[in-house]
Amino acid sequence: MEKTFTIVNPTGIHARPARKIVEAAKPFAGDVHLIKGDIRSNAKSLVKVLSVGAKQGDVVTVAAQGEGAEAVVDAIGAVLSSAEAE
Amino acid sequence: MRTIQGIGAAPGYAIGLAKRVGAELSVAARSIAAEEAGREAERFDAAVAQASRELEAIRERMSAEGRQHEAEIFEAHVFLLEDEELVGVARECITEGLQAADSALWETAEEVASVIAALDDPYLRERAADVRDVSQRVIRILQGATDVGLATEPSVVREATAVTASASTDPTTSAVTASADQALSAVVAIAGSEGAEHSSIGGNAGAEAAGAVISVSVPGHIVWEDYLEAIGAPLKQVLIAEDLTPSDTAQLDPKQVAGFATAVGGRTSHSAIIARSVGVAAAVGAGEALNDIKDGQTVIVDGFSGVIIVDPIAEELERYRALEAEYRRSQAENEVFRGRPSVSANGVQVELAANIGSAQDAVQAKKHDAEGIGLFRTEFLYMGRDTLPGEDEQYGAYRSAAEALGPDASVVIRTMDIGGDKELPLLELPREDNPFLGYRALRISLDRPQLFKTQLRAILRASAHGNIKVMFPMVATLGEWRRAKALLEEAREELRAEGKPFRDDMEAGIMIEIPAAAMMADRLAREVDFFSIGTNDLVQYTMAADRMNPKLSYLSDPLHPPVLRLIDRVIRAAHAEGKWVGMCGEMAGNPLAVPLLLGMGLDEFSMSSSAILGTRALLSRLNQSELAELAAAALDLDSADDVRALVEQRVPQAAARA
Repeated sequence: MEKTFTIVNPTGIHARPARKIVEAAKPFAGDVHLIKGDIRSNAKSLVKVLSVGAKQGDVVTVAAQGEGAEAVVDAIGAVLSSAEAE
Repeated sequence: MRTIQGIGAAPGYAIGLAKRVGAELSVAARSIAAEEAGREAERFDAAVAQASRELEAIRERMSAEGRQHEAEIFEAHVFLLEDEELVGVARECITEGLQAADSALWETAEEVASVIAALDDPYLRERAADVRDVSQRVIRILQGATDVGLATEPSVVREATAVTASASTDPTTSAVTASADQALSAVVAIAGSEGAEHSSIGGNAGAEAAGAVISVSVPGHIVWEDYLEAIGAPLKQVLIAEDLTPSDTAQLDPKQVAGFATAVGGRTSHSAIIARSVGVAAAVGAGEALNDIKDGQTVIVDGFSGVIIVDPIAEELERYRALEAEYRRSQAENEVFRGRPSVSANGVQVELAANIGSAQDAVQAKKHDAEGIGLFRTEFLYMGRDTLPGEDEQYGAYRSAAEALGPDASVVIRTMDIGGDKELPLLELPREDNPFLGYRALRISLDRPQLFKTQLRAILRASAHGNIKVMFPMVATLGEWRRAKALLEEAREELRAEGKPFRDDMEAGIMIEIPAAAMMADRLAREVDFFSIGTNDLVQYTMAADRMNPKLSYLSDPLHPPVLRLIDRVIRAAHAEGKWVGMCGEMAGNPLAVPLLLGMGLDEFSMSSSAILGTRALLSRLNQSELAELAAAALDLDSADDVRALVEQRVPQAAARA
């Protein structure tokens, strides 16, 4: 299960959205990754999500497998494509 | 006296005694025996748990004091202590890599922090400091060190002044904050010893804290009352650090700390943000030159220019004392203007409004006492998503912005300005060689009437809940305006037929940002309800200079007479038809431009929220009828530099704020 999103927030994925991503990923039993370019990052880790360094206009893929994968991908996608200011 | 150049990070002037903070941790790589691993991991878990409790306690205290930004930082730190790639990996280094707990965490944190520190986003880079800060907290617990936070209790200060020289350099006592009494006696001592010049920290160990004050000594005569007044009694600290950790800055007490200077960091560091919210001056990124500053030296931090002055000569101290007093006075004066109308000295009233990009910004604008919204940039609603925002979603955003400001406040909603530097992949716009001169803003809206009408319907419906106005960007011709107006009329008819409420007399206006529209302002003024001058684009199109190109910055100046002439023409044209004119570019909040714009008769000034109170204060000291002559004189000058010089000379109260 993979979906691709474009970062809308003019400030990119900063502290607050990064935390929301981790909070969305943690309850999921399997692995959840953010993929930008060649790099896969553990979406359950704040430091890894920050390390993605996603900026406005960047395209990020969210990947998860197993039961509930679509829900977790959509939840993270909602954060990635939110324009909410910090 | 020595001057160090840093980056101005938080406005204001700090004058006080240097206090170094942030002892470096040393962590030696150390391995453990396999049988120790279990116990070491338990010790690690306990330290993490204790760090978490400490952070939670600080968070609660910050929250109770209403310091929300700081509270959030510590909440994030607690969150980091649960991070599987930080604390989880460090624990594996203990149980599987057989490393001692402190070196396991140190190495893991460095690895993680160095990746973040290498990102090209300055804000994200700063998050490396959070990773290091929270890890150091755990390491200190593991190493059995006591709290290294700043002493903020006066009792600690008094204790510290009683101890010897070596103690004052010990980070755990952390207090050269001599009380006013001590400073006083020390300065009396200086005054008594004629000609004491730059006496550095003396051998008088018993009076170290006082000795520190003596080291402040400045050539020339010092009268102690002046000196105390200069630095503001009670004597305050100026913190000097490689970098202040969020733990340091969040516990910073403005009653004791006048400001700080750090070797690293940028304007988006936590420390800079907190300094701005607490209201202390700060300079960051000053480099290694800070290393030579000793505890107790007199330091001035200019939070505007980023200059740090160590052991200032009397004249310099005097100059900064005056600047500091003036700054405080103007801050206090600005506050006085909260809730007051925006009126010039001779009674001409204008409107001071805010530029916003979201409904949330409207709340901020209200806090800064904006009278309305002069520009709501709606394109952020559209950008970076899989589907276009529907009518209801847009309606909700516009309505909440209007409700945040109140029923009478004018809220100007600009239809989407996509294109130029703002891309919208969803529309699959073709790539252009020259996007600023291309298919953008109203040009797209008119080409895609369904997209446009969805937005117009949303704006009309929101107009039932406040004094909403619609504005079209990038109008070049009368034909474009008429087509936009016709589509607005269609939207009205549709809503009427559906029985949906909207404001019948909702005003519709245009941005003036293309010279063609400025030249045709007399014709346009007959048909529109208002103009709003967008100076950022107007300057770039008039001067044919890309505003992002640093080599052309001399052309990107709104004070160029050709730009002023266009603005003057637009205002006259509107007033001749009885229409109002606003301005929503950066120029509207520029203290040197405000007198000219007021002189030309601009009706509404829309700017970033934080500039509003200061502009209102400036307005109150300007006489509009005198400025009309000044504006006329400016239009007749040869260059932007001449205009600037004229305003600086004739309107010193504006120059002082520039």
